[in-house]
Amino acid sequence: MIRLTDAALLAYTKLRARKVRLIVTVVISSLLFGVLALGSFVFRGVVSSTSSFAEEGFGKRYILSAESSSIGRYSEDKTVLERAIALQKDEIARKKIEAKRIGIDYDPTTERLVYQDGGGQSGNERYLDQTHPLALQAINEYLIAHPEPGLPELKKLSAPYGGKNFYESRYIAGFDIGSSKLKVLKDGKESFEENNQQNFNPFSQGLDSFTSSWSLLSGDLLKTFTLDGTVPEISKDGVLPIVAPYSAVEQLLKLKPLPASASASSRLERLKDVRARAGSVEFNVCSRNASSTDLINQALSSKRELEQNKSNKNYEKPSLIYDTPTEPCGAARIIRDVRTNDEKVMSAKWDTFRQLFGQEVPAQTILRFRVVGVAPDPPGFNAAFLDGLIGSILTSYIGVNWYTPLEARKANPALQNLFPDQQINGRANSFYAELPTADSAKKMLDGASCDLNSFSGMPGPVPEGLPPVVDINGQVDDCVKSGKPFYLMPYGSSSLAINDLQKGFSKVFKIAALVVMAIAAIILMGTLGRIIADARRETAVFRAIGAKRLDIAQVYVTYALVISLMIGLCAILTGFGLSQIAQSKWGAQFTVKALVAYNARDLTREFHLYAWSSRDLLYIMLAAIVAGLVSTILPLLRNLRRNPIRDMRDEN
Amino acid sequence: MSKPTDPLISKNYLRLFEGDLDAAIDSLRVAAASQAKRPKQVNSDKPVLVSINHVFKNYKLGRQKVEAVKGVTLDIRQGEFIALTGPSGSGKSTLLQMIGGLDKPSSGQVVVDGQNISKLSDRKLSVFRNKTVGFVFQFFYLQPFLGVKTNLEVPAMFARTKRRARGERAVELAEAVGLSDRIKHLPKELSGGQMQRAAIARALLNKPKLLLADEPTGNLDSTNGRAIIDLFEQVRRDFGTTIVVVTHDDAIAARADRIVSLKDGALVT
Repeated sequence: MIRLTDAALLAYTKLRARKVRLIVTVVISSLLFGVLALGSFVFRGVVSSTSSFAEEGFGKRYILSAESSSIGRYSEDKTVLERAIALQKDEIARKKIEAKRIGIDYDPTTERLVYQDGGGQSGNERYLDQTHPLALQAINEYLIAHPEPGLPELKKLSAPYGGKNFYESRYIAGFDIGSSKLKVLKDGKESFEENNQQNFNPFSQGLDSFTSSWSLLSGDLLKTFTLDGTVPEISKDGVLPIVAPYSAVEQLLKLKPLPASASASSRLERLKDVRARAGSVEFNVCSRNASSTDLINQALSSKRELEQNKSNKNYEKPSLIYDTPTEPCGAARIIRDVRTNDEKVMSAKWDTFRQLFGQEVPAQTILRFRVVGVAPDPPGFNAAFLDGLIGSILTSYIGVNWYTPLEARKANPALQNLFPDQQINGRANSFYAELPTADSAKKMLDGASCDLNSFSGMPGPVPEGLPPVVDINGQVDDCVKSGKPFYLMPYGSSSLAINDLQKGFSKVFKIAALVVMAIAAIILMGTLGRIIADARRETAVFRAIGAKRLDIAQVYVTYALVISLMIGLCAILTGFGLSQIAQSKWGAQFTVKALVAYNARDLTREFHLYAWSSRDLLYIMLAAIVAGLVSTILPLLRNLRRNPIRDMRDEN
Repeated sequence: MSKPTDPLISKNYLRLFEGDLDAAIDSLRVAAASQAKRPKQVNSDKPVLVSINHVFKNYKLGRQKVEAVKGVTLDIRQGEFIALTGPSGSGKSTLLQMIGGLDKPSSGQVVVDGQNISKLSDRKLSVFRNKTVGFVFQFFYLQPFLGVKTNLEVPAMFARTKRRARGERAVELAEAVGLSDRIKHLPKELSGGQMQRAAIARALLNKPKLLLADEPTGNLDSTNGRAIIDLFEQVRRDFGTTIVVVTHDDAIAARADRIVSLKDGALVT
């Protein structure tokens, strides 16, 4: 073997051969490895920044949410439907008797049935109308007989994994509150324009998201998002504490949302402003029960009718006309009542009759809220790609985004009414177990969750071409039997997901490195092979003046190593350069998003889209070296086996 | 020096001809004739450095068997200046390559400085070429991207000579061949004669006992050609190096101590 410096000196002479081709090859290979390096820089940067920000959020807490796996099973149980039908039959019978007794003309055929047709896999089956009060009664009876798992079951389940703290949340959803309505009084005023359009919309943002997103959550979990100096408790004057989404607080502070093109510094200024003033924000929400909402709807309908018949001389106004209230969240007003005494008596009889059979007295109440915290907005349905991406990476969410401490429910009947013990229709109460480590959380997630292996399909016959519907109920039964009554999911932060992502990334990174290495080796083989083949005469001369085959091999291996190191270094510099460009383009945007997402107290924190991982960079260097060596081996062996005399003669 | 093998009693001799008795007998006749024409030895007081005994070199050209060297026997004493001459295809370059350990004889043996190089391993042959022999080629074969001094040092790199020692030796040799003012130049900045002088200096770097030159003046004009031969004489005089030069040029051959001519692979003088 010759000295390393001599091998390097002789290898250096090769670098000057076929310069253009060599430069193009090095550039292409460097770009290939550069993409790999960029991936590493950005990924590691995101992970390290996320971990750093997460120190202020849920990042270092390992919480699993648990929802009953048998949720909604009553809708599959025919006995519930039968019970509801029986209840309705019984009620109709009682109504007939009562109507006869009080002397009103009751027609049972006008009753809304507890079921509808067109359900099931065949599309012809009856299914429960879960908005019907009697259907709800049947369901409640079912749930009392078949209680869903709760905190005690979760505590038991998490004991082997070291579960230490437990929490609970209650959601509000459109169905759950029947036809009662909640409406934020924007600027203190009640708007009736969209009264009939209030739907459950998980993608609504700002104040409009209140109705679909308001929930109760254990106060301890809420602390992460509360503002400094605020107390998340009901005040003496009955004002409810609430953590509100960022966009809603902006609205309440009468700040116009910043345009998408707004700079990061103006976003940061806005964030500071919102944080500073959010604690002083109060707002009211009008809560109407179904009867109250019905009267408002009646008033709106009358208004439309009167408007339409303004110039109709033959139009006869109804004897009783309601109008919307003049004060916010007031009762519907009677503005015309020319009913005869008989009509009034009959109307009173009907009111008594309806109330006897469950109809509530119209009622409305104002709920007062005080903002005690700011939570990140979930990425909107129409969010731009980057926003969506940032949102999904910077997840420190707690499900929805309006939260009142669960503890406030005890002292507030309105909350007890809005968030009943038994939840129906899909959005059950959720429970949370906090585990001591990421590992224990992962183990519990893997070992104690009821995992279903397929989607149950839509109601109705299975369309052609789709896989057959899997017996989900059977799987749920198996889960319950095997002591896994909950669906478990990581909650509150992406820490577990990031752990998994890191492992996944390492695998993908290694595979990508192998692929890039193979491609680079093929490219390099073309050029290095040519250069080595070109050097046959030189090899022959070296052999003639005393070089051993190993010496020649050493020169070319050194040459390949130099090329590989150049490629590796160029790749790392390229990756680093590109990550710096990404940082300058999106870094500030990520920083602001992260500050909001993690409710960071320290607003000087920065989100970096790059971080060094010496292991990744070592892989890149190794991959480049292996590619260089592999591409050299074949041409070198061919070269060494050649007859030096012939090579000297051939080249002359 | 090891005793040459008598081809008549060599057990392996017939095997070389793959059982072809007529070919073996023809070969023996040529060998005998060659033995008879063995040239007169000069400098007979000096020890033999190169001993070539009944050397044959055959190779196949397509389906045809070509006998490049036929039973050559030749001794070269230390410090001799030999000119190998003969028409193209007479086998002189092949003989030179066998002496230099670049090629191996099909039969017979080549002993240089006491080493039967026909039997050396590839590794030992490399060491032999590096230490005992210096090669000078018609086309110089200098490294185009290395300066003259570094070019001169290349054989010493393969010998793992210390940088300082080889550097001093290179400077010394560059001076000896008249290139001290060109030491930092690249080969492309030299004339043909200068390049060949650099190549000779390179060949001498490891102080070889034997300098082998294949048409060293073939690519030079007559003035430079003469200068190179002067240099060979100077080298022999200063370093006592044995020199074997393959040449077509009678003027150069005339400067040698002895002319060895080949025709159709056999010695003719």
